[in-house]
Amino acid sequence: MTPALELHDVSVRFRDTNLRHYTLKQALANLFDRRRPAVVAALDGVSLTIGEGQSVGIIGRNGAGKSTLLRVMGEIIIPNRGRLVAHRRVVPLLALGVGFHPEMTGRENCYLVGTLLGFSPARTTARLAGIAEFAEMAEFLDTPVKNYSSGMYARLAFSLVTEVEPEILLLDEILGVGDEFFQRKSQERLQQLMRRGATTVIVSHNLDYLVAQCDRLIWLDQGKVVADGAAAEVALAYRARLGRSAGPKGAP
Amino acid sequence: MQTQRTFLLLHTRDLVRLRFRGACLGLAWNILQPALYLVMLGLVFSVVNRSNYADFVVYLFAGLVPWRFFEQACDAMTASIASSAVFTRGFRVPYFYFPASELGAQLTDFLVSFVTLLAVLQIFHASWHLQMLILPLSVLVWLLITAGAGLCLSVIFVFFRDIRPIVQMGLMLALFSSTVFFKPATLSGRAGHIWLTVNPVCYWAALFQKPIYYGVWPLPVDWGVSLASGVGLLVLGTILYRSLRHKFYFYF
Repeated sequence: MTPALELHDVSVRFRDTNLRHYTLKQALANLFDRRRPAVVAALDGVSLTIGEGQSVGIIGRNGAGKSTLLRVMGEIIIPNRGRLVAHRRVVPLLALGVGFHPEMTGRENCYLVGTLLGFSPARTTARLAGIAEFAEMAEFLDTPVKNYSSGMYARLAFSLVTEVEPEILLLDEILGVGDEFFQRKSQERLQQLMRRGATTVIVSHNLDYLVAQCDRLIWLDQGKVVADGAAAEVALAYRARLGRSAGPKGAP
Repeated sequence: MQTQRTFLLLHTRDLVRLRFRGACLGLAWNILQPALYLVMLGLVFSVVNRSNYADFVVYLFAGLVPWRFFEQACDAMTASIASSAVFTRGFRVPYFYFPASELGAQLTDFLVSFVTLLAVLQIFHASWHLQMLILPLSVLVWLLITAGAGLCLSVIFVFFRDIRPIVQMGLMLALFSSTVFFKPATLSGRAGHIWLTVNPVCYWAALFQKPIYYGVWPLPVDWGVSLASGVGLLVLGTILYRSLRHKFYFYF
């Protein structure tokens, strides 16, 4: 397996949000607070290698560290410890509302965000018609993004990041956006990318979708890798654990 | 990396565009606004300083044009990292690009104001001195000072969101207690002399006032104090930035 992305002993820790200060006033008040701020380990010594062309799903309960892991892979969060080696160009599509400046038009945002995705302005110009066509937004391209609906926003964002032909695509729970027609269209495009050899890492709570799309699943819990292997096997173990933890309360 | 640098240029351009988008006078406002501001201040403070209006306007413009750049750039750079979440939560982009973009946008205003300053010299029949050829170097030193101060403030603001009014008050005090507004003769006596000697803003202002108003070369001490201020602030900002950038994500 040729590695596309490697994580070596990666840890991400941050202070408990309840005791975190955002103002000088709070910081001064905290000087007299004897409580020690709790440190949360979002990721704790995670090491893994993702091979070229693999389709990897990440599962786990809320707060398990899935999104943090994806953001470390996208070099958005700088880990406190460990290192990341990306052998290929990583393109993240992590959340709605991220990446587009609300005051700027769709066209201006495509140029601006295009540069963050590795596209020169000339290359964006060449692809802009295709981006607008896939997003079905040709007539709204010169409208400020703040006037877009969430569906329009998602369509343009998805169209842009998939048009740049990512070598490694990171997706965080965003495939359920837009209408049903666009959802089908976006999943077809995603499968096209996978067939062309793109590496994909998808975070989702939709286990059936991940089993169908991915050949490998990584199960995270409390910032640690609990299981990593064939999608069907890890999904089975995850479901068994969920069943056990839900058993006593969920039993009729 | 090349396209990331293009992001810096496009973002700077967009900041300039956004500021004047929708303004009825568009970019002309860029010239009118500082000109009106300076003319009004000149009128008021020529009375306070008991000076000839035309003479005092030239003196005031010489100090106030670079000061306004410093003040406005510091203010814009302060919130730049904290408000960059729209990009930095979704894509890998160095945080320092955002204060740098704000600095670039303010530099555009500064250069326009600088042209206004030259027009004022012409209107008020001020003398054109050979020493004014040194002004591009003075601009570079002010740029260095502003970059350093702005970088420090942008990092500190991420953790202390209430520092803005404190900074604005500090800048106002620095302005009104320096030779930017008052001619050195106004601050007479031993205390006044000591204050003019220890206040670095007076040395910064001298880089513009001496060639433009007095028609003399700035002294080595003016260059030395100004350069030391700029380098010191930039080194401090870089240390703060490098040691704290891994925490930024968790404070958005």
